[in-house]
Amino acid sequence: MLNLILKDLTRRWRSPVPTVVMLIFPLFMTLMIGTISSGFSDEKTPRIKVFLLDRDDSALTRFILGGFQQEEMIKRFDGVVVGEEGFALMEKGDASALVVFPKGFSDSLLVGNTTALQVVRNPAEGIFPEIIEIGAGVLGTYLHNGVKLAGDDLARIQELATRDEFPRTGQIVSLAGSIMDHITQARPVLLPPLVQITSVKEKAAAKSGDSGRNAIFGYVMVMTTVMAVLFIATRAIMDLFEERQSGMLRRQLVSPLGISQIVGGKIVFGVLFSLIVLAILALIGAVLRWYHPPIDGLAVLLLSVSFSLASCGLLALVFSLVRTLKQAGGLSWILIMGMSAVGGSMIPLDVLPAALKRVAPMTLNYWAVDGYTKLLLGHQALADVARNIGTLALLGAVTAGVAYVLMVRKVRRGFA
Amino acid sequence: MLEVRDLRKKFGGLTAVDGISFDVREGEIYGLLGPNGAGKTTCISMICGLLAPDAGTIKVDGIPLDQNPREVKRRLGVVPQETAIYMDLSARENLHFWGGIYGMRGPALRSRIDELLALVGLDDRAKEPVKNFSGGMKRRLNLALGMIHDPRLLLLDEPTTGIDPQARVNILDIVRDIVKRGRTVLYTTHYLEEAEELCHRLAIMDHGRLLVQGTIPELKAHLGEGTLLTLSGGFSEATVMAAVETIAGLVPIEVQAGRAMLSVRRDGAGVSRTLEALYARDLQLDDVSIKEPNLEDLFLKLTGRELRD
Repeated sequence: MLNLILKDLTRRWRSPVPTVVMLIFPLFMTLMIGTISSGFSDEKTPRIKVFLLDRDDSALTRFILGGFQQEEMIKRFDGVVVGEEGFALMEKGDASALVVFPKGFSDSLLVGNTTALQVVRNPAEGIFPEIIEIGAGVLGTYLHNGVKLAGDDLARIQELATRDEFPRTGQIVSLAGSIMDHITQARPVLLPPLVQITSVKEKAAAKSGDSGRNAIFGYVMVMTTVMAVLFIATRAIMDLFEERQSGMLRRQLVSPLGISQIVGGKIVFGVLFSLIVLAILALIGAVLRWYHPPIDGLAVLLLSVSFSLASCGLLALVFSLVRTLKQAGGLSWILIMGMSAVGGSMIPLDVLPAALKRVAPMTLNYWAVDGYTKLLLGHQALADVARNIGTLALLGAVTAGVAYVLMVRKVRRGFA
Repeated sequence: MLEVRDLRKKFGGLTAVDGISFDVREGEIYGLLGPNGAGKTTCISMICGLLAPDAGTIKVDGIPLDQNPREVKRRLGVVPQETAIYMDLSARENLHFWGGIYGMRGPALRSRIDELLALVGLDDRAKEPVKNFSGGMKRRLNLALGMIHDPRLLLLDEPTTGIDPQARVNILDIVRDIVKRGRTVLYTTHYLEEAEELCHRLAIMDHGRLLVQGTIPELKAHLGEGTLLTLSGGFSEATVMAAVETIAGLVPIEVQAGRAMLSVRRDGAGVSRTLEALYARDLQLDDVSIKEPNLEDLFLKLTGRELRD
């Protein structure tokens, strides 16, 4: 069996391209996703262009439109005040949305009548018009609450504003006092706000320098490496089908080698090769400082062995159930992509929907990603991942055992 | 060396090998000649243990294959029809791997590899990946791989199929060399010239059955001892048989309406006089061929069709 394993390792060494591709895949994905997620990217968020049509032309609407000239708003929105030609411009798709303040908007609002803000969306765009519509909804909510809070004061403002002569000082002072009273009464409810927004990214960076970014790289590396190992295991086990096609399997079977040695050798090679690939990727991750000590080396080794065994066992089981190389390739691809999508190799386990979170433990990826994350990023110890190691080892032993029996039977029945 | 008795194999409703028996003696090249689908490869597959026969026995060096397959496999070297080589490894690495499979190690293995590389003329390309080799070179390496453990009996399954004439000559020379070194060869082919040129004894197979076997002269004797006349034209079987009875030294090999194969014995009237006698009997002859008998004629006689059909 040692001869068979050494031969397969030598062949991989002589034709390294498929292996190198498998090694590059998680590194590339890590660099790409990590760069985007950790804020290394210099790319600015695009500004949302919005047309504003003020048919009301009141103090309130001018005040709202003036808000688009505020620094924070300028960063995010390109607010352009337009006339009725705004509809024609929208037809051309010149902006993400057109917000229309209807005539009588302020008056309706001040007397407490229902009014509407009209939002014309650009159908060619998806997210930006949605953002503007939500923003208009928020504005509406603020205005509604403002009206409720101000109460009779608004009617008095309305009445003073429609007079020909300028209001007397006493009237203004009385109105201001009333508004102050309303605000004072509402202050305990409104201030301070119960919910405050802080930027986690800036806080983490300020606290620990680059380690936050490196943790993101480390996490993405774990996710993608787990998927890559499944592909590596596929390649190793698929070799049996390729040897069948090239006649090498027949040649081995007419030698004194037993069928069990040939099949067993292929599974053992798959496990060893997966371990080698894991070791290379771990080394690269360590050199790039994506992982930091303390790391429980023994636990990492045991997790890697059990994960490699489970990967090869499961894929060998799949291959033992199919007849052709094409079937084997197609089925294993579907299995790996499915497990990766649900098991945390494509989407972080924490953000998976609840339904998928319940399915995730049925995948190898889940146990491996969870285990490596705990060991490499959470600095936990063997006891913390014992369940992961045990589950993977058990799955590996069962699937490899069944696959071995089925494959030996398959070869005996003339698979070669 | 090899004893095959009443070997049978069916695949579903198809009888691939139908009760064949033969012996291969030590130090000889024994050929299995037959068209594609005759059952040669199935036969080889059973002898090397790849397929289990439905019935019959196989012994190598007196050891029954079904009782001690591992010991039999150690005595056998198999060269399959396809070039079963690891293309990404070098010739030396391929030989090293197969040597290891047969338990060879260290200097003995290295020396055997050198010997074989020289024998098949690949010693100057030994370290190059096999994928760079020509078809003929791959075939020679394929042959060497089957011989790495110096087997007593070498099974060669159509080793020259699909290669150019020069490469074929090389392979045949190597096979002769192997036999000179005291080894035994069972050789399957559908090229009759190759079989005639190479084999000491030969069996002709068709539809899973062994039709005839013996040395080349023994096989040709089935076609008579003289020159072969093949006639075609508008004659009946009875007309030809009547002519044969009256012409001295003319022996019927196969006669049917419109087609006849006759042997003109050397002690008879001679080819020229025989043809004159045949024309004198008003046989309507469209075509006459005169030649020394060969295995193609024998196959035609035995099966009623040509080997290349």
